[in-house]
Amino acid sequence: MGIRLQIVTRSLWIYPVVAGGCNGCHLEILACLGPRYDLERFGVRIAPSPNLADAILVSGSLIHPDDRRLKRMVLEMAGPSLVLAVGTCSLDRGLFRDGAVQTHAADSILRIDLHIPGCPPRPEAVIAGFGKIIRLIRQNPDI
Amino acid sequence: MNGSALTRLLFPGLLFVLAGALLAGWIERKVRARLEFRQGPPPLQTLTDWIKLSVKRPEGRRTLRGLLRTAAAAAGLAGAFGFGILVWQNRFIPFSGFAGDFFAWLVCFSAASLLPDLADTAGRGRSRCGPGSFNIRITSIFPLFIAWGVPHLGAGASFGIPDLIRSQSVYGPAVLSPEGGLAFMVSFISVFTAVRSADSGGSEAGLRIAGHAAEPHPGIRIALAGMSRLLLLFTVPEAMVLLFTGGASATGHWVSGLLYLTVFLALVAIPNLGPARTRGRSLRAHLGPLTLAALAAVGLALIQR
Repeated sequence: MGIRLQIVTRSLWIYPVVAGGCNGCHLEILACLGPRYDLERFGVRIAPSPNLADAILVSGSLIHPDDRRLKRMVLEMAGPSLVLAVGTCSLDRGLFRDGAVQTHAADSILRIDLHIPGCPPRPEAVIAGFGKIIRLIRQNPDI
Repeated sequence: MNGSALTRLLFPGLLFVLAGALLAGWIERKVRARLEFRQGPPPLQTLTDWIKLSVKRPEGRRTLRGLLRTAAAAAGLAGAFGFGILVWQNRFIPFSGFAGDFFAWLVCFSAASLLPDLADTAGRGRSRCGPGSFNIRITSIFPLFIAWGVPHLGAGASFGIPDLIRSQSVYGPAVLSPEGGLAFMVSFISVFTAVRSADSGGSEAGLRIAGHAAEPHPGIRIALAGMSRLLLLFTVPEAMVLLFTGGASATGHWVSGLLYLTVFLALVAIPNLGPARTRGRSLRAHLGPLTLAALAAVGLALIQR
């Protein structure tokens, strides 16, 4: 494994995107960075801008303006750029499938590299997802 | 430029300050993690982050705004670089009494608590400065301190109370001098850069990601801005040490720097030094480790006297 890959996998910056949803998945993502799990021990931190992030975490089902914003965010990311769908809503719209507002699942808008299921997923599941991201980056250096 | 001048410029400015900046950035994040009851980043994490930002493939558009941000970051870096050289070459050594030192220190860190409000006002209505903005509170005051301190000392004044009282009459003409004006401009640009591109913790970022349109940021530009913040973070504590020690001698001021870093490393090693949880994070950030750091520095100053 090259030095660049080693550095990237030890300094994984994430950018959570809260689409339409109950915000539960986002709270679980933030819990991963809190004192109980403390992902900063492994170099994971929230990026101030999607361009600096290595992975975007999408939680919730997408409504109309947000899908365009999300596409723009992913286009502006500097490599490596990964997209994770966190929670059931981003998989199949979850509770909002039959709602009055038309929503989209994240994988109907973007190429999703990893799904983390759950409503909401436990922080342990999110951390396991980060482990899989790192494995993914190591296996595909050009990602 | 002869060899000695090159050595005087390159060695202190580049090797010493850059290495110290990375260390100071790590200490900042570690202290912040301790305040939040976390373990914090591993050693060399700031170096890893900076290298990663530098090797990321930028794909952002080059707009005038982006160029201005790059120029602001470069100016901040140059200002901190020059200030580090001034400190290293012993041209920034105040001579003052203990009360004057303490008053100056108090003024600097009191103004730090006002800056987040200004940044919030300038932040287009978004709350960029929640209670977790400890890093912004601490680092944003350093350029202002430079803007105030360099012309103040350049006019021949000290940090003693009589000179501080006369500072109103001294500062005005001093800031109009070429070096004073340059210091003020560089500091203003640095504050702008630090507030605009300061990285934030989880809770703050969580507040402003919903519906937040992305802005193009090539990684090297943010890395440059981050390095200027780190440089400021490192160089000004050394000046603070000089304040506390009442003007160190030309041969021994680096000892004070080591003492200051030792105090901070001791703070990092202790899990939490803040008051009770019920008082709130903002209050804890200001009254916890900083209070103990101030007491430790005062103790060191008393011992040296």
